Amino acid sequence: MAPAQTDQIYLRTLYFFVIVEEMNGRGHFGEWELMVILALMRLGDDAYGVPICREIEEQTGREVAVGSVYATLDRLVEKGFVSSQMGEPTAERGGRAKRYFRITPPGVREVRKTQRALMNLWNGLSQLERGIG
Amino acid sequence: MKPAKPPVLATWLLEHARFSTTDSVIAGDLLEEFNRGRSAAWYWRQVLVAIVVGCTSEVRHHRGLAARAVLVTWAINYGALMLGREAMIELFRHGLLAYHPQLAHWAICFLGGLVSGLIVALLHRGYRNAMLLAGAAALLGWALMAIVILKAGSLHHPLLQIAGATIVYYLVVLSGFAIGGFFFTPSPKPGAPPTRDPSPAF
Repeated sequence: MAPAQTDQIYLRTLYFFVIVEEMNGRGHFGEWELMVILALMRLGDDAYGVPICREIEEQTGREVAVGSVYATLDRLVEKGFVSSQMGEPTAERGGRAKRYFRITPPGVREVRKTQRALMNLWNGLSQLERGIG
Repeated sequence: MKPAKPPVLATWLLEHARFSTTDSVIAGDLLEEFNRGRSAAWYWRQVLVAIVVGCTSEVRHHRGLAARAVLVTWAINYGALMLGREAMIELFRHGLLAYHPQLAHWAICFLGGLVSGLIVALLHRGYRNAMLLAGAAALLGWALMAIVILKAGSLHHPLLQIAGATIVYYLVVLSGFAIGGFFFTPSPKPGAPPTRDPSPAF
């Protein structure tokens, strides 16, 4: 193997680890956080527990625990990526209020950052391009 | 046939678990979904996951308080165990404990559990339920450890006998712990935000 080729492979490997390392830090969302926040963005103004869970279930095909979604949303609220607001209590919910969530500008920035990092990882993967899975 | 109302016990558990201010919101969400045709099994699953997630999240947020709850639980129950042993020896020596020494020992262990539950609940009023669950888990860990240590220390007794005695001990202490923790202290109101914890921040 030519030295230039070896260097290229080395640099690509290094770049991969830098991205993965960066994703573990505070800068990027984890898989589950990303799913929750993307579902939240897709729903717009009607984003509260039930539709968020249903959206994730429809897109991923797996059952979602409402409690886990709220735990994740609470974490995102703490980080400042999501804001929440209580709605009015309704009879359909036994007189209990809904809690609406909305993504904040820092949240949108973080989603973009994560998207960029993931796109960098995905680009040029021959297995995916050939449809091997 | 699908029941018209969601399982009452599950709803009660969720609303009284009181791990976060969102318990009432989650209960509303679950009711909404249940009314749209979800099964009672689904409802129960969701409630149990919500309780476990809420408890672990509360413990993670207050690691110092949880460590204190665990230490208090261990210290008081270890004291009760030792005191029970000493008291039993003394009573036996004076001929006052001819028939049911084990019963007397369990009574002291039960009291130890009751006192530790009460103290953990009073020390962590704002996070009572999560800290009591942390204490109960600590007791379980202790009981499992005791089985291993006792088995290693006494080769003549079969494992089943040691495990049986430890499980009975655990159940006795846990009953006292639950009664002391849950029934002797006021329960937080469902849906209300947790009260400020009087203990120093960790």
